[in-house]
Formats: sequence, C-alpha cells, structure tokens
Amino acid sequence: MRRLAALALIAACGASKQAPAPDAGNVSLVLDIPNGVLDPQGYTSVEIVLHEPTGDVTRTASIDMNGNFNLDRIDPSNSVSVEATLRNASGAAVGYGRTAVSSALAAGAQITVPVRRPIAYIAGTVSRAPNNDATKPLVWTEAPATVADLSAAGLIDGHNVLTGNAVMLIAAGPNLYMVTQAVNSMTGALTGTAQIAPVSTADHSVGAALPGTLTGAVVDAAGSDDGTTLVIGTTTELFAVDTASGTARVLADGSFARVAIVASDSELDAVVIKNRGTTIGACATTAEVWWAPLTGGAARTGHMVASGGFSDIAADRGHAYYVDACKAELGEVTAAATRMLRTIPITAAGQSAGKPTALAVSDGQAYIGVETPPVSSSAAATAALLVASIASSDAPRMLWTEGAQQVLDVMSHPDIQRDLSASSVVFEHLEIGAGGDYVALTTSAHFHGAEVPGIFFPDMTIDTEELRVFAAATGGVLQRYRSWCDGVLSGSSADISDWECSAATGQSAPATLSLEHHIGSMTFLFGRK
Amino acid sequence: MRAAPWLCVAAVLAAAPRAHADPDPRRKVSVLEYRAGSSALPGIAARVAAALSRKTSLGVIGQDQTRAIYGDQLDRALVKCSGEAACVARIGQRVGAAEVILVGVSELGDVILTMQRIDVAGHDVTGRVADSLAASSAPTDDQILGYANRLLPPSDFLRFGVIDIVANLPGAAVTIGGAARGLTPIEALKLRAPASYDIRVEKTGYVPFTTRVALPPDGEVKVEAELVWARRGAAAWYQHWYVLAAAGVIVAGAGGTALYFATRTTTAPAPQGDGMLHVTGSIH
Repeated sequence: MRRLAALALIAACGASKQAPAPDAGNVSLVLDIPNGVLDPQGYTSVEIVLHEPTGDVTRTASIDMNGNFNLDRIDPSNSVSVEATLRNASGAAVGYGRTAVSSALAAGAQITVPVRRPIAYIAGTVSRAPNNDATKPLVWTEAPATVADLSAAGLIDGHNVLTGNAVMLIAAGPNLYMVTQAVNSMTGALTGTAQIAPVSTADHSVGAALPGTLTGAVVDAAGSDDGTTLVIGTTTELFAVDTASGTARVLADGSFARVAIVASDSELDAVVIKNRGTTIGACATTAEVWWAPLTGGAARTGHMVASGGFSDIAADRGHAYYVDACKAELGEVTAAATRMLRTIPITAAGQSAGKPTALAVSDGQAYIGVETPPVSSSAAATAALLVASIASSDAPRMLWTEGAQQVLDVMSHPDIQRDLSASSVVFEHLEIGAGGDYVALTTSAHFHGAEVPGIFFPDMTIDTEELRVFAAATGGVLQRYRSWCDGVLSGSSADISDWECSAATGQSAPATLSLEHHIGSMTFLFGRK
Repeated sequence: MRAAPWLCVAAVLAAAPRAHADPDPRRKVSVLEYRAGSSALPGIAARVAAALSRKTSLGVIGQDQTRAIYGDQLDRALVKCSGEAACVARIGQRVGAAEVILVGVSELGDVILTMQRIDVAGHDVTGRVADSLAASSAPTDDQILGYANRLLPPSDFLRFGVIDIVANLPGAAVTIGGAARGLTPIEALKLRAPASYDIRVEKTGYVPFTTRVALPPDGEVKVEAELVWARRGAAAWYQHWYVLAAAGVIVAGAGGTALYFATRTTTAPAPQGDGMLHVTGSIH
C-alpha cells in the first residue's frame, strides 16, 4: 500500500513539471486533391473540423512547403466526420472538402478527405438571334455552362466556360456531372431525353455519357456526398442515377421542382417537392413533399409526406428541412411527417408581407430567401436573405436585402438612362459552398416601364437573371454577375432603339453577348442546399 | 458527516429490486401504424414514436426504421395483419423488438385512435387505449403522452434523482459530467436517473475534489466536498504517502469519502499517457 502511494506521488510530481505524456497513437489525415489544373492554389493554412457525437473539435494549422501540417493532440473518437478548409493568407477559402461517412479516430487510422476548389457552376439555355442578325426571330439554343471559381481573383465575366453545352450541372461531393438535353427553338422548353456525362474536377474534361437517360424536362437535381447517387427531378418523373453503373431508375411520377438528398452513415434518401407552385401572386398550397429511399435500388419507392405551400427543401447532417411560403415557416421533414420548427418574420418596416421561397442549411444554420412584392406600382420588389439557427429561437439575422432595380442605358446617348423597379423578384437557386464560407443564390427579376411619350421612352419589358455570392460571415457581396438581361421595347413615340442593360457598381456582366445565358441550374462542388 | 453519501446510496440501492417485476425499461419497441381506410391523423405513429423516444427509456424504432430492417414489404404485411396481434407480433419478432405499439386509425363518424401494446414473445395484447376524436382535430403532445402513460408501466418513463452538493467553501466551481453547473453554494440538482455522474468541485488554490456517484431514480445523493488548501510548491498534507495510507484506512472504516476520492484522482497516473492521439496531415 505504501509503495503504491509513493509511486503515485512521484507520478503526480512528474506531471506537475509538465513532462509530455506519451501519445496513445498517431492518426494521419490525407487531403486528397485532384492533381490537375484545378488543384486548390495559394493555401497557407488548413482548418479541420471534426464532427463527433459529443460536439465539434476545430483545429487550425499552417501548411509547410511540402503540404504537411500538424494538428497536435486530439482525443480519440469512435465516430468522426471531417471537414477540411484550405485557406490563403487572408483567410479566404480556396479549397474545401468533407468525408461522406463517419469513421473512427483511433490509433493508426488514416482518414482521406477529398478537397476541391470552391467553384460554383451555372448552366441554362439562351434565346438569341441567329448569327446575331437582329432582323430574324429569336431562337432558343443550349449554351456552355459558366464556371465561377471563387478561389480566383477578379469578377466573373462569363469567359470561363465548360466544353460543350449543358442545361444543368450536378455536384456529388467532389464529383461533377453535366446534363444535356435538346431545346425547343420556338418555346425554349427542354425536350427529348436528357443525358448525363461526368466532368473531371481535375481539368473540366467531359467524359462519355452514362447509359441511363431521363424523360421530361430536367428541373432540379442533387448529388450524394459519396458520389454514388444523383437525384434528378423532371417535369414528368423523379429519377435516381447510380453513377457507377450509369443506370437511371424512376423513384416517383410527377413534376418535381426541388430536390435534396438526406444522408446518414447507413442510408440515403431523397426529399423532393412535387407540384411546386409559382411564388408570384396568390399563395399556392398544392405543393407536396415526397420522400424516397435511395438505398436498395428499388424503383418507385417514393411516397408523399405532406401537402401545402412548400417552396423549398434542404438537407444537413442527416436531417431534411422545408420552408412553406404560405405559412412563412421553417420546419423539418421526416419520412413520415413534417414538423414546424419556427416561423420566419417576413415583414419589414415599409414592406408588404413576403414569402420564404428558398432554403439551404449548413451546420445547423438555415439560409432563407424571402421574396417580397412591391408595396406600390412604383416601388421595387425586394429579395432578402435571412440566416436562422435551426436549434434556437433566436431572431434571424438579415444577411442581405435589396429592392431589385435595373438601369438601362442608351448606347448611342450614354447620358440617357432609365431606372426600372422590379415588379417581381424570384429566388431560383440557393446553395452554400465551402462548408459555410460562401452563400450563392440566383434570382430572376421582371421589370416593366410604361411608354413615356414626352421624352420618347418606349414601353419596356425587361427580364434579368443574376448570380450573387456572399461571404456568409459578413454578408459582403463577393460576386454579382448578371448572366442574362433582355427585353422587348414597343411604343409609337419611341425613337431610341439601342437600349442596353447597364451594370451597377460591383456588378459584372458577360464579356460578350455570346456568353449570356439563362440560369437553369446552379451548384457548388460540395455544396449544401 | 463524510459518511452521508454512502449511506444515502445504500438506502436507494436496497429499494431498487422493486423494479425487477417490470419489463426491461430499455427494451426495443417498434411503433407501427395501421389504418382502416382512414387518412385522418397523418403521421400519428411518428408522433407517438417521438413522444416515447423523448419521455421513456425504451429503445424506440419508428415505422421507417422498422421498414429499414424489415424491408419495403412492411406496409403490405401490416395491412395483411389487419391489426391481429399474433401477426403483428411476428413483424416485431423479425425486427428484434420486444414489443410493438400498434397505432390504429379508423373512422366511425368520429376518428377512432387506438394504441395496442403487443408482446412479441407472447403474441398477445398486453394493453390497449382508445380515444374518439372529432374529425378535424388531432391529439396534442400531452394527450399522446397521456395515452402512453396508460399503456406502459411507470418504470418505462424517464425518472430523475437529486444530487445535493455541499462544499466547505463558497465560490467553488461545480462540474457534473463535464458540464459546468455553477458556483457553490449551489442548489440541489435534478438529473436523469438511474445514472452515474462524475462530479468535480474546484477553486483556485485548493486541491480539486472529484468523485463519481451512482444516482438512483427518485433518490437523493448528498455530496459533501471538502476543499483543502494546496500550498504553493508543495504537495498538500494529505498527498504524502503516509497520509494516503491513513486515508485508505478511514475509507475502509466507512469514513472520509471526500478525502478518499480527492486523493485518488489527484495522484493516480495515467497508465498509457493521457489517451490522446497525435494527428498530422498532408495534401496529396
């Protein structure tokens, strides 16, 4: 007894001199970059977040010349998922990745985290005059997708495009796929079967098309973090695509406009919105939330969970969420039911009531797009982006709000301008990139200006589409790219015909008209929506 | 005075065998929904499963989890059972559940909600509650919990105990299970039971007091933490080997609990370092 106690005392004294305790073992993290021209560049440090059942552990380390880093000592864990963000000297995320499933943080373990540049892709169709001959009627065609590399300096001008035409891009964790489909030249509607082809995230080369094809016009899609599965909603069916075999199977029949994938370590499920109504005008309550298990490979596994004014769905860490535009609420979706989590304050001072119509969730933070119609015929419709905590009832934070306006210039008379206020602004896509560093959204806005005979202004109907990228922490606008601006001029008194859309301060536009296109889809590598 | 915690624990442990007649409070229970041509009360089984998960110690699996184990034909099998207990029990058996709570919805003018507790091994119904609801109404969470209270034994519901920590000094920080709970003097704390809790009471300049207590349901454990001044540059008087030996004798004599735990945790060496891992990484 005395000997044991004495030994214990000696050990305690040793500890008080801060002798380093031996480690229980070593763990190696491998950040797997694609080894190509699209490798993350300019990083000087890495931020690692270990998501454990008991909470998150965050470590930051500098990266040496050989690409090595040391996170020091960390408690072991039976189950951990890992997020890695590569940052440059000013703290901006220039690479991001995460593990698709949990693994043990134990002695001898090697955990591989795929890491890619934070790139947003926008794709869609375009209507233009054939051969730029303005005397000929406009025709709809496909167009190459635009690459918005947020790790590169400068404003987007649309010159960085993928090879070939695409109507949709789909990210599945570190992997990328493009969807091609024909366009009806008269109406712009997507028609015929759609095909899917892999796009290399090392160099953007396009691979051979997968054997599976889709019917109906593609509307929205999502990919699983492990890269195995794509879920694609069309105007006639909901499809799951196995990226290994390339086969497509139907999960449910109907028109599906919003798609997300809920992932746990043991299963994948699709949560989707069917029969989504327009968000302009009277509130539509005919939307349905559907749930479809993806694990198992069976066809037509989808079932309806609930119906109502659902406008968007999102998934984060094994949970699915919705926003209801009619009830102005944020809630959770399970395979069996929907459950209201909180209401969204949608009326700001001097505004009419708005609708939450877009949702993305990352690490327990819900990003909610709210559309507010104009309070008068001369006022502008407003778009706002709120951030609300899923777990608490704290008041949401307003990240951004803006009345949508568009200035038009006369090319031959630069001193003549007309400022139009939008009669509607619509959130088309909302997604979170680089694990929460970036929030990207696209909007479409509709403007109308009546003819003003006294000053020879024509009647104007203008439509614009924009991509905005924000720094999630500050709300600062990193990119504002107007991908599309076009309209119709009419009026007997008008004598000016060469109007063009002006770029606002901080707003960029396609470098040439040939780079313009509508935004049918937007996605981030490792995005969350 | 130091013997009080031991006496208290012993008293409740003696009472614990009363619960042995009740079924295992951690048994696996599958909550399934059966509808007799009614679409009323959508998601009611999921709500029942959620309520049981929150308020009981049972291992509750809802219909989706049951389907994940049983297979996609679960819903068809349930319809085929038509609420018959032996048939439903076979479903429970296949998913490894000890019991099935079958939530039934039917309509006879009003909406009839039934909840049956089906014993899987015995293939029989061991409890049943039913309620008639207006066509447009749905039971509140409290109502659902009320049904569950009538259906399940009290031992299935989460219970609590009280830990009362009394220190000889004010302003000492109290940590229970790693969570800070405030400074002494501190009110008695109501905590989930049965469970074991690590308690730490510490104040700068004093040797931390640490102990682990087993908290029985509906019991109260009083912990008297005696903090002793730690002289700078020297071990506290009770840390010397001869005092440790004496402390062991005191414990054996059913006294000095606080001293025993304090010395045990402040002097015991970690057998293999501190158990932490050295994590390094590289970019390839």
